[in-house]
Amino acid sequence: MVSYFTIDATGEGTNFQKEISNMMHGFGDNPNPNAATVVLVENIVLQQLRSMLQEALNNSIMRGSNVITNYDIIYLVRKNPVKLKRLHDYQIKLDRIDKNRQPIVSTPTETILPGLILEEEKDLTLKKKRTHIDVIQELDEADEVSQIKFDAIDYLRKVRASKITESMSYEKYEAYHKARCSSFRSGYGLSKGFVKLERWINPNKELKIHSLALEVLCFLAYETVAEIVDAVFLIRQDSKKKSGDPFSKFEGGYFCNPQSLNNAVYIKSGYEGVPAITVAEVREVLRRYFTPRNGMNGLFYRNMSMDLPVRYIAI
Amino acid sequence: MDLNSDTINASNKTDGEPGYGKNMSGIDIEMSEKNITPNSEGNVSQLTSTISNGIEYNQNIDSLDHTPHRRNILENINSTPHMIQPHLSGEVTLTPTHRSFTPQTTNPHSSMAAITPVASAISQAKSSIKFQNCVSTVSLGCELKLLDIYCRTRFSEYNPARFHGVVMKILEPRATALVFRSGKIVCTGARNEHDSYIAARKFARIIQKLGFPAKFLNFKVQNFIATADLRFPVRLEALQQAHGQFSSYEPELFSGLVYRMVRPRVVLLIFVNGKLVITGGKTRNEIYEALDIIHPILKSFKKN
Repeated sequence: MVSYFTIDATGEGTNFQKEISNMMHGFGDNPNPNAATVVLVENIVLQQLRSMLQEALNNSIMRGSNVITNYDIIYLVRKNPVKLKRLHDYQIKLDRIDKNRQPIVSTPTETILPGLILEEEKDLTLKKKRTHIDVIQELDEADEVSQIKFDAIDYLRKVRASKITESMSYEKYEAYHKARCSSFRSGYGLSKGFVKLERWINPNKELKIHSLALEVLCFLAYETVAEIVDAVFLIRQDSKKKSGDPFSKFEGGYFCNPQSLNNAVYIKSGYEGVPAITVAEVREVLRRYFTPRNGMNGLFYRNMSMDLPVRYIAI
Repeated sequence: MDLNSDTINASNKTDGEPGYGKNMSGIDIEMSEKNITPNSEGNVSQLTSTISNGIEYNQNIDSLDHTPHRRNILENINSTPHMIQPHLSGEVTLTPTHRSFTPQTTNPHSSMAAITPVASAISQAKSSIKFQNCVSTVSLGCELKLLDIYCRTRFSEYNPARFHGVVMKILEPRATALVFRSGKIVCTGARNEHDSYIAARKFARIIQKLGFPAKFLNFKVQNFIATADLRFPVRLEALQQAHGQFSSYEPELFSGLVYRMVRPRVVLLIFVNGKLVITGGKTRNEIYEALDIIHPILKSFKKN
């Protein structure tokens, strides 16, 4: 994984190893993930985020703005309606949480009821409003996002989490819950900020990144970790597969329709036995992700410039 | 009748006056000074006249004070002197020297079965409900000059660039009000509806004393926020699986599960350690009802 971005490791001081290790635990890895794997995953996420930023920067320059906004980041995701849908839901959830939490925090200026807000207050709250959904609707011309009713991957992750917790002792469950609470946002409570994330991906402050863009990047970083862990479980499943077994298709993997979703979750309930994800497994995931298939960069295609395909795990 | 009106006066005084005396002492002192020298200033003569005139003042308060609990207090006061002494009290009948005492052959204690009082889990959870905040609204029915209010009251903030309303605080009951130009007040921070009502009245009174023709219209409790403790851990993942359409649980965003109950229409924040925050209820009963409904559900997702 030697690349331009990992050589100039100026973001030396900040790392997300603890968070990523917690996230992997939350997604179903061993409670103590392999340290080398965590470092590798962190490297992957950082590299992915930086190349995303690079591309977004190019887009923003083309648009003639000097700040990277959430539009530029969401633009990169435009071809994946499932991810757009998830981001769409992400905003809805965040908004809802903010709304719920406002009355509890006792800053008096925030505790107004929506019915009583005068016109002047409305544009005050508008400033802080998230605009991801608007951007998504603008980019999604065929209205594909609104037609996705069911997010199978998300559902699978939740099923997996609930299966893992089924026969856990309370102490372990508490630890697991704490692990699941970790994210790329720093701080705790409402004031979760992106200071650490920004220091990580943009250590020299050479790019101007809007906070909404950071929110999307935070989402994508989290998705990257999730996708890697998901794919590791798929690989484990595949390696167990016996050729000629008529029931192998019911174990999930290649074949997964919503009817058989319960079978597609590889993890058995009770999670003591889950071995920690190894470096080799993560490398295998990457190999599969970046193997050129049919099409532009695939086999039998003459690629004149021989450039590597740019792919983002989270997109 | 005479006595009655006296008690009303007394109760009004005890209810209204000391609170103001403590909290809005600035205004009160200003007022009392004006009472002593009524002819010192012309422009506040209207104000001082309403206050110095005792009857009008009392009527004014009276018209503001039609609440059931106030009446209860009055009834209690009236009934105390007429209380009839019971002929015999319990201790007297049981003493052997008294003539109605009959000796018993068996020890009465032996027939008693000892039952230790056990509260059911749900009633325990119900008794753990603590009301944390009560948001109420009231309309004063007149336009207000916010800058004027801000300049002449203590403990108030007004920053039009940040928020278009005066933020006003009182200490007894501890509450915060948002006063808007339209004459609407949002009163928050009181622990229960009674405190919220008292606080709203005090705010209305303060504004009335500043010379605005304030009335007290459409007082309504808008939101109760309560906390409860179930005393057992909950497996939120399973709850999310089973009640997906009502709940959203994204631990990476917020550590609790947000459960939107349809009837009664409240929102519950459920945490792993079994603590709940219930918001959105318009009445106390809705909060209790919500806990009644959610308790058996959460029980089935208990984590052992």
